Amino acid sequence: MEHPEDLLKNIQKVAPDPKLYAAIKQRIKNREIETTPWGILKIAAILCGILLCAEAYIIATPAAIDIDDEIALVSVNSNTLYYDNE
Amino acid sequence: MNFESIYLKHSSLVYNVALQYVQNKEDAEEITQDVFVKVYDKHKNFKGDSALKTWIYRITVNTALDYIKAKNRKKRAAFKNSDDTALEFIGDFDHPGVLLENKENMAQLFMAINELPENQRTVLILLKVDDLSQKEVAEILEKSPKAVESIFQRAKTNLKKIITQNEGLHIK
Repeated sequence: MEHPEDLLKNIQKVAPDPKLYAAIKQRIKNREIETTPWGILKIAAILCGILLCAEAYIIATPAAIDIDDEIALVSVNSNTLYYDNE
Repeated sequence: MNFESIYLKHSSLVYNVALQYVQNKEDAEEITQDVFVKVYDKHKNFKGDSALKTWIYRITVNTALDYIKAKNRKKRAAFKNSDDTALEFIGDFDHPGVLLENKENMAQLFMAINELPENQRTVLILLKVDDLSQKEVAEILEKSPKAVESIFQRAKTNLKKIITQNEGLHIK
């Protein structure tokens, strides 16, 4: 066999297949789709929706209560002075 | 530097280093893909071009060695006779950078190189096939140039021993 170092120097550089870049981009894209936690994102979106609905309900409900109901809700002792002597 | 520019500038380097480790197109392409997926994740942290090149070399070497280990594990699981494996290697040797007239000699040489310990194989490939300087190899392997020289000397000695042994086997 020829001297190993001389043989190694005869190795020629080879250009990679031009299609390789497209394959790499596809692999990166596939991996990003796989690693995105869609399940967690869906649950988070549902929870946000429920919280928003609850908040909207809390804000809207007092406006819908009748004035009479509001009076009824006022505590008996809140604004009225009672005199024991009367 | 964006990912496409990095790929255009370094893909040939990665592919050719991978070829020296696996000596066939399919595996070298697989390693090149693995390397650039890793590069894509972290390339934004690099500013200097020289640091980037050294880093890409390092990833390529490690990825190629891991790929070979994984492949060897699969082969061992399939259990093959060692004599058959040697003959199979020469038959399957398909390095696209090797001229046809050198093919048989090169196949035997690479069979011997593949038997070297990982660090000796890497130093030999980077110094003698990729023609890097000792300083560059030292940076890639994070060792001193003196350590690289010492590894290279051991690689040469071991390579000669392995080639002599293998030639003895062929004569028998």
